[in-house]
Amino acid sequence: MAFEFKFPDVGEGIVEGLLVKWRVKEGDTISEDQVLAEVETDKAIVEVPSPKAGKVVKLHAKENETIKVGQVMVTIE
Amino acid sequence: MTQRSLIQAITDGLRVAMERDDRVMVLGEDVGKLGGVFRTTQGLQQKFGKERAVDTPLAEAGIVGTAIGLAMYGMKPVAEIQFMGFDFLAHNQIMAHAARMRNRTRGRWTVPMVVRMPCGGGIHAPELHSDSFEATYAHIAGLKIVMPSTPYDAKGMLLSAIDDPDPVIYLEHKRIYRAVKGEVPEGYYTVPLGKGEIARPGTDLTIVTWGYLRHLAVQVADALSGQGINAEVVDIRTICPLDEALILESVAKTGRLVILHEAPRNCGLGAEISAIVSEEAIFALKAPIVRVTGYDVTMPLPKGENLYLPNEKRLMAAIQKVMEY
Amino acid sequence: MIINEHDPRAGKIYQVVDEHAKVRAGAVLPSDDLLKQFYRDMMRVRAIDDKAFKLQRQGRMHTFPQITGHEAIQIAAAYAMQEEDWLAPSYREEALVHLRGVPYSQILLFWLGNEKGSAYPKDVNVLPFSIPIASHMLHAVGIGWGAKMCGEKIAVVTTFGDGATSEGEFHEAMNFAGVFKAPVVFLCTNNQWAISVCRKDQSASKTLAEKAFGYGFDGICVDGLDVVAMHQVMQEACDKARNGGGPTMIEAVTYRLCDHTTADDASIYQDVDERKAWEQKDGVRRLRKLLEKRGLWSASDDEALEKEVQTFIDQTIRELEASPEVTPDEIFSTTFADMPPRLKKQLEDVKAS
Ligand SMILES: Cc1ncc(C[n+]2csc(CCOP(=O)(O)OP(=O)(O)O)c2C)c(N)n1
Ligand SMILES: [Mg+2]
Repeated sequence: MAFEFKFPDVGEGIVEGLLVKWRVKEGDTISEDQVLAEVETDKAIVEVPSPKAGKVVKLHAKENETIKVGQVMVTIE
Repeated sequence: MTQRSLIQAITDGLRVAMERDDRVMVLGEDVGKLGGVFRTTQGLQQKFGKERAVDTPLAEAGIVGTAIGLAMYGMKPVAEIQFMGFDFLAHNQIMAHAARMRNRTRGRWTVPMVVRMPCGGGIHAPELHSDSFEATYAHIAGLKIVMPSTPYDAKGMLLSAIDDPDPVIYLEHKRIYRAVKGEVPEGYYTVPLGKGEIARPGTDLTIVTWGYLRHLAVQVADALSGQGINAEVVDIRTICPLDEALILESVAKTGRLVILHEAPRNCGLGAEISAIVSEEAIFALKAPIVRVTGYDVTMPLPKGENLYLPNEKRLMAAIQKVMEY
Repeated sequence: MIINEHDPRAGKIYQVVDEHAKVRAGAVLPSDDLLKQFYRDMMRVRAIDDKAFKLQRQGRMHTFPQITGHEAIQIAAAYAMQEEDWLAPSYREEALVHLRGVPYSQILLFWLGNEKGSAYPKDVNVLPFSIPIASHMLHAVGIGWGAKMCGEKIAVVTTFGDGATSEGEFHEAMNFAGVFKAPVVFLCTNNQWAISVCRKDQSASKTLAEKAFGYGFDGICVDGLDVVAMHQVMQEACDKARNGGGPTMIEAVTYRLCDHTTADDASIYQDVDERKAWEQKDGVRRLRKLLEKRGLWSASDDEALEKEVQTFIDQTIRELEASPEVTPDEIFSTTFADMPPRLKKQLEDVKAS
């Protein structure tokens, strides 16, 4: 079943972040807790790990794009 | 004009004040090198040096107590308490000293300092990081208390607070720190303390509120206009001294009053506002006053905070109640 | 006595096992079994800490403080304490609180912001994590004072950071403990940082432990990455407290090898080289080296431990994530012993909305 991973609130009151770098690409098989992307918020650059193992079906944002908290980042199958 | 978040507006206000007057200094926990845990003082230490953007030892009474002395000597300290839940440690200094110095010295000395503190819930912060205790200060004579809710007001009121001859408690609602952006002029300007603002004009009822809830109230009021209800939102901006005239004027026009605040209900500012309106304008009222507030419980941990915080639904119900009376 | 032979004012830091796992000549080590147990616990708490960090980055945990660099201190303290001893902890004490009998899932539930996380098992004498820095230290003194009045021989351990020593309540607690000779062990984890403020900007005194002498009792600096030294000193201080010897302050010297909390970014203020140098001294790695040197650890131990750790993590996360949502009753029911009518009305209001 497809799982949509949404950009979580990674800090107190953070509303958005800049997607600095994808660390996976579509088609990759990933393990749980594997880093998906680096995101820069007003407070820090954070690595966002995957909550699930599976296959990356779709990346929903481009590098250097701003993503909002709650926006779908990755679809994992 | 530049679009800025509340945080950026505050940083800009501090920068402008420090440029204008070299007696202005900021002090507090982590305000220097880190630029504050919310980055509100970011860049100030780089620009003005370690002596004017000061990382203090971890001690709230120490921060405020020394700020009192600094202010009495002629400096203009802007102290930061990292979260409002830790202001208790500074209460003696704020309430027994800062608030009373003018009176105790028969006007010879005053304490023109600003104490900034982030307050409010809704950002999933840990225990004691989400409280709204503004009413505790309103009970103490000699303190001014403000809570701006737009970036424009945040900067303008901060500059007023720094200029003010009396101690000002400057409250920053964390939920709108980054979530609200708005136009902020460059350079120096002020927004007066003690003056509220009509955030949204209306004719059918008055919602009196402040802080984050101003934005919720406007949003709800806008949504209601489709149903033929035209609500006026009054953002008091200053908790003390309260702009009573503005509230009374609005109630005289609409005849209905909902008071909306996040702080607990018991002896909250809503009670004071309600009493003022009852005393001064009871015959203007077409319906009993309704308060929508936090509950009289310990501020819940993040997973329970939505059970505590006033929300759209509760506000709607209150509006319905005053409209249908 | 180790404590009064290592005066921090003379620049002494007590150490048994150095960073190369070399044991000081003549030192008596804990039993092989206990050493191995220390290591297993360290690996377990480090792993769950790391997992919780990832949960936070996935949006499955709220702000919480990691303990990297604190493991040896917390584990030594836990094993030096006896069942009837009390603990008044700071917030960065997950491992210690856990080893005193609180399930890890419950600790994480608290940091996730679920009130259920605060309902500790009734038979553990552990106070809640103290969020307001240093304020809980006074409670420890009061508890110890009460125990003394009742003629009960217990030790009360209270933990706090280097930053905490700047708060007025730290000094009040130390002074009361000295005056009333309360059976308290003041365990200060000096991890060199209070969020972004470094140790030397926190206090002009050379060590933190030396502050104890101003209150009329002994203080000692201990290598906080040396679990053996920490265990010995904690045992001695707890024994002293239980036997009427009054308070002791222990400054456990370490380094915060993580962000302050998940809401922080230590790279803004920590120096990379300084941090790397401290990583070399890491307490977990050091104990591992010691075990290997003494022939106490083999590849099959690793395998067994890996399994143990994985089971622990899986079970903890399962319990954590299976916990029901917070109910309105939970928000209201522990305000007073009896709910006043006003609160009952408000509770009805929440349930209706
Ligand atoms: C009274 C109080 N003031 C401020 C804070 C915010 N705060 C949380 S942790 C911290 C730094 C604590 O440093 P330290 O005592 O060294 O403990 P560590 O975090 O290093 O374990 C600060 C300032 C607080 N929790 N309580
Ligand atoms: Mg510290």
